[in-house]
Parts: sequence; C-alpha cells; structure tokens
Amino acid sequence: MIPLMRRKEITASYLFLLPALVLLIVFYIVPTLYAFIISFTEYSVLKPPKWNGGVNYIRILTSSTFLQATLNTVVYSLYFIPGIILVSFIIATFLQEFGGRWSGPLLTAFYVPRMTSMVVASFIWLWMYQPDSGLLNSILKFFHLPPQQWIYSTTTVLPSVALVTIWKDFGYTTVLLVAGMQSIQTELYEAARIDGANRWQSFWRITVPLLKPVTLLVVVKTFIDSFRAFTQIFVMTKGGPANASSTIVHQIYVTGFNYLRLGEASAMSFVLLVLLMIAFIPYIRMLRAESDV
Amino acid sequence: MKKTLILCIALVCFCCLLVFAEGSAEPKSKPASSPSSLSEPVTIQLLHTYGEGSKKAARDDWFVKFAEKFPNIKLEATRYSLDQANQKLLAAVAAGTPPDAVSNHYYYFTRYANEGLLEPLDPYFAKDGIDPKSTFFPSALEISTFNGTLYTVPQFIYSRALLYNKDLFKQAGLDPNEPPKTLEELVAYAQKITRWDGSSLDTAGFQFPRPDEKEHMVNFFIMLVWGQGGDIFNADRSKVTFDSPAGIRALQFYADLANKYKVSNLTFGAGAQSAQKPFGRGKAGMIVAGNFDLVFMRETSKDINFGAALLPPFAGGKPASLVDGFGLAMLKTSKHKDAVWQLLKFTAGEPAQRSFAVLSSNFPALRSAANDPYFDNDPEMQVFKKSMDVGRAIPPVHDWTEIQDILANAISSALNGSTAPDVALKTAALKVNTEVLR
Repeated sequence: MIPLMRRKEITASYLFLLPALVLLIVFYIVPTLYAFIISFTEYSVLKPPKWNGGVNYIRILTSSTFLQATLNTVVYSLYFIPGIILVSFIIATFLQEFGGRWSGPLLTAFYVPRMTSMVVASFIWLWMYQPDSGLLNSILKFFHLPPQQWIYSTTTVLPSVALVTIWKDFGYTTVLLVAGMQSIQTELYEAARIDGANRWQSFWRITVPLLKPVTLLVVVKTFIDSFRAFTQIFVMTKGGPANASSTIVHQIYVTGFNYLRLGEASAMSFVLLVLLMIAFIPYIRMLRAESDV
Repeated sequence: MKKTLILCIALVCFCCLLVFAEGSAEPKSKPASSPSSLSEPVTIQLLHTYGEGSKKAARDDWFVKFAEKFPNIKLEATRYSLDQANQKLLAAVAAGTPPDAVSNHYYYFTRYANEGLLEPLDPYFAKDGIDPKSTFFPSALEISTFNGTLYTVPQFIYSRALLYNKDLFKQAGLDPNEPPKTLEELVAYAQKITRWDGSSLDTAGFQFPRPDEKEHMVNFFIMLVWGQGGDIFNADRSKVTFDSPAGIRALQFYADLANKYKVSNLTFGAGAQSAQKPFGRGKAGMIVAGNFDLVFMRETSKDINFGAALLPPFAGGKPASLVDGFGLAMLKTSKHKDAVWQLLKFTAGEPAQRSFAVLSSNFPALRSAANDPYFDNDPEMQVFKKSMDVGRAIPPVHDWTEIQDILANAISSALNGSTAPDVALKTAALKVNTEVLR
C-alpha cells in the first residue's frame, strides 16, 4: 500500500506532465498513427481514404524513382557527413589550439549561418551557383580555371547541395566539438607533454578518443539531417537535373502534393523510418555495450 | 497508476483518431441557394494566382468590373503563387474550409475534376442558353473539359512561337526580316550567330529550353513531335506514344542542338531573372517564347530589336504550337453556387475576356473577344494569333504532372548525353504505361 503522501506526490507528477503529454499525443503520436493507417489506403485529401492493403508499399519498393531517390539520399549523406565532420573538426581544433581570446567571437561568427533559414541560404547559394554570372564561377574565371555546372549537372548536383548544408550547419557541429574538447582534462595533455608527446600525438591519442561520444552524437545528428534533406533541394534543384538530386523526402513531397497520392507518400515516410532504424542498430548496440561497461 | 495512465493515453489517441477520420470524410456538397438569393448580399471566396507582372493589372480590372456589375456579390480573393496555390487548396479542403471558386492553370483542374472536387458546368451553361462550342475557341474548350464534362470556364489562353533578335541576325549576315522556315535553317542560322569566349558561351544562336526549365523543355519537345505529325498519346489516351519515330527524331534533334551543333548549352542563362535572361540582354539569337513574354520584353528590354515567327518544322513538316490556358472553376462544396456562377459567367463573357487578355498580353478564350484591334495591330501578337491556328493543347490527363516529370527526366538525360534518345524515351514510355497509366 502506497503511503498517502507518496500517492499525492505521484499524482502531482503526472499532473505536471499532463500538458506536455497532451501536446505529444495530439501533435506527434496521433498524427503518426494516422499516417500509418493512411499508408495502407489510396488517399488524395480531396476524397476519403480507400483501403488498398499493402499496395503502396509494394509500389514504392518496386519503383525505380523511389530506389533512385534512396540512392541519391545515401550518396548525399556520403558527401555531407564526412564533409561536415572534417570541416568542424579542423575549425574546432584550430579554435582550441590557436583561438585564444578570439575563440568566442569566431565561434559566434561561424554559428551565424545556422541561424538563417534554409530557404534563404538556398536562394543565396542559387545565385552563387549561377553558371554564367554567379560568384563561384566568376572566382574560377578570375583564376583562369574552367567554370563548373554546380547544381546544373547530374554529377555535381549532390556535392553542390551538400556544400550548402555544410556551410549552414558546420557552426553547430563545431560548437559541439569545441564543448567536447573543452571538457577534456588539461592534466592529460600536460602528462602527455611530460612524457614527450608532440601536438599531433596528443591530438590522436587523447583528443580523438576522448571525443568519441561527442563525435558519435555529431555523426548521428548529421546522419538524421542528411536523410531529411528537402528544403535546399526544393528551392535549388526541384530534384533535377533528371532526378539526380531527388531525395526520399523530396519524393514524399512530390508524391503527396504533386501527384495527390498521400497514401503512398505516407508509406514512403514509414519506409524511411525503417531505413533509419536499421542504420541506427549498430549505434544502439554500441551505446548498450558502453553502458554495460 | 501506470496502467491507468496508459489507458488514458490510449483513450485520448483513439478519440483524436476519430476526430481526424471525421475531418477527412468527403465534404458534403451543399445544395445551391435559390435563384432569388442574389438580391441579398453574399460573399464568395476565390483562390487565384494572379499577382505578378501583366496579370496584376488584368486581375485588378477584372475585380473592379465584376464589383461594378454585381454590387451584391462581395469577392474575397486570396492570391498564391502557382506552386503554393495547389497546396493551399488541398490544405483548405482537408481543413473543411475550401474556397467557393479557384483560378489556376488547367493542369491542376484535371486532377481536381478526377477527384470529384469541381462542379460540372454544362448544366449552368445550358440553363443560361450558352453553347460553349460556339462561344469558345476549340483549344480553350479542350483544356476545360475532362472526361467529356466541362469543369472550368477558360479565362485566357496563350501559345508559343519563335522570337528572334533582328540585330544579331544582321551582324551574322542574315536577313532580319526572314526568320528560318525549317528547323534545318534554324540550325544553320543559329550556328552563324553563336559566339564562344574561350570555353564559355557568350551568345547562343538558339537558346533552347534548359533541363531546369522542366515544363518549357517538355513543351518544346512536344512541339517538335507535333510538327512531324506525331503525338504523345494514343487516341483514347490510355498509352503514351512519345517513343515513336517522331519522338525519337525530335529528341535526337534537341540533343544535337546541345551536343553536335552547340548553338547553346544546358546551363546558359540558368538562374537569370527577367531582363537578365540572355535574350533580354541581346545574348541569344532565337528563343521559343509565349505571347506573355512580349510584356516582359517590352518593359525590361526595350533596346532589343526582335521579331516573331512560327516555330518552323522539319523540312516537309507543318508548324506546330502549344496552347495553354488558365481557367476558373466552381467547387462542389460551395454554398453560393448561383453567385459563383455569376462570377464564372462574367469571366467567360465580354468585356472581361477582352480586357483581361489585352491587359495581360494573352488571348481571350472567347471567340468574339479575339477581334480586338490589339491582336491585329501588334505585329508580334499577329504571329502568336496565327500560331493559335496551328496550336494544340496537351490533352487534360489527370496524371499529366507525373507523366511530365518522367518525360522531363528522359529528355534531360538525353540532352546531357548520358542516355541515347531512343533508350531514354522507350524507358520513360514503358514506365508511364506500366506504372502511371494502368
């Protein structure tokens, strides 16, 4: 039998949780359940949903367009994730080693793109990527280098879009890495110095291993972001040229709002969820292993 | 306590799902109000896309004239861009707050009609003794009809033709009053006009539509097919036929413009707006344009000395043009159908058709309004008027958006040389015929 005071505490806890719980249910859980249900229907918004079993899932998994979108998303991730980690690591290390009193202002400056909207950033880069008079090709021309097609070529469109996202988000990942580096005890570096380790050895033997949890967090976050890429594609390329930059989320949008097949679009979103969950299995296993230790 | 909490959460979820399900039920069509109700003030809501350039002036004139004629009908008009209007309508329908009338490009109406959103208009025309066939141009009527039923009132139509820079013609030693009569001549003229600055294109002899101009690119391809007597659909529109010999020849020619004749490239002018576009800066000898482009050219590129001509066919073929249009539709869910019909009838008649077309540099869908001196006195508009005679519209097919995307990808991959034209078209046709038009 729970004592009265304890029951009152428990009741009060649930009451405090209630507003957040209601919001979570109404805006997250219920829409997700509803989306799951309509993924088994033919639904255009303009007519009531009509049950069609798993036809949407079969259609998606046998659609060359969806398969290409999945491949494009994976390729985009392969450009984006290493790119943003590399850039963030270099800048975080530079700030930590040489930043001094300028670290704070510089970190703030690097964070500014993160605060702009992706729509605005995309329009700015759309102008910069103009093949005839854009900033980037003008710079290349100045150095007598051949102009590039950037987002107008099937081979360069994905790295060009990834570059935009890297520019916009590297400030955030840099902040995380800097915070991680600052949490490493300085005594470790002093001990290493006494033992004769140089800067490079300290970096590889102390900084990188101890940054593992933060690095993993950054990888997970950038991985999720890469699979959610949509705004920059919608604004800059509309999935072109020749579907070369259409990602899964872009296909979800096109299928739902352009083709009026919201049932199929919902099914795509759950396929994306399953793909992400599969990709997260190694990470979850690693976390469990670390917590067991 | 935990079990109670879980039960409460499950109950709330169930209730919310019920509310969602009820909200997505088909909106009930309200009966039309009685004819005599127009003597009382009524407000109708219109969703439209007219807000930029020449259409802004035409829109304002349309609203003013309607308000003068029907002071009891208050029009609450909301404007969205072409991309947004579709989404906003879907959201409004899903929320149970759809507008009474919608104005948009006819591509969208085929989808709405297919989903049962639009009110059939044949009974309204019949009740007022109007015969649409004798009232409107055939192409205007074609794009307003879906599955044999008239769903929209065509507001205006437009076509495409060749615009050419007379000064660049002169500089290349060509007669500025003799535009090309065949596509073979077009290539020859374009090659004389084209200028390169090292590896960068300075002046395009013929600036063909680029892959990032998806709709424009597909329309140009279709005109090349039609110019050979070919077609993109079979007779009953159950299959696409753009992979026919005419289609392959059209795409091969299109790809050759970029890769063999090099009269332009796939990125020339990309990202440029209005006056910055190459033709407006005097950096393109010829382009395929719509009559609506005349307004921009005359406002922003006054120093460009240009002329218009029909897009020539291959030698031995016939010129072809593509006709497009915007329409106005009534939603089935409207509670003020009589008032909305007055708006539609007003829009379909004089003087609305005439003034909208003249102010926006488009063509009226109404036959009698096309006799305005504006269309006969303007030399370039005369050419576009002639192009209406050889013009056809893409048949209203409710899957056209998806078909257009697949065709655009095929054309794009042939233009950049990654796929041979026949392979690209056959693959696209197979995909459309097996996955889209089932």
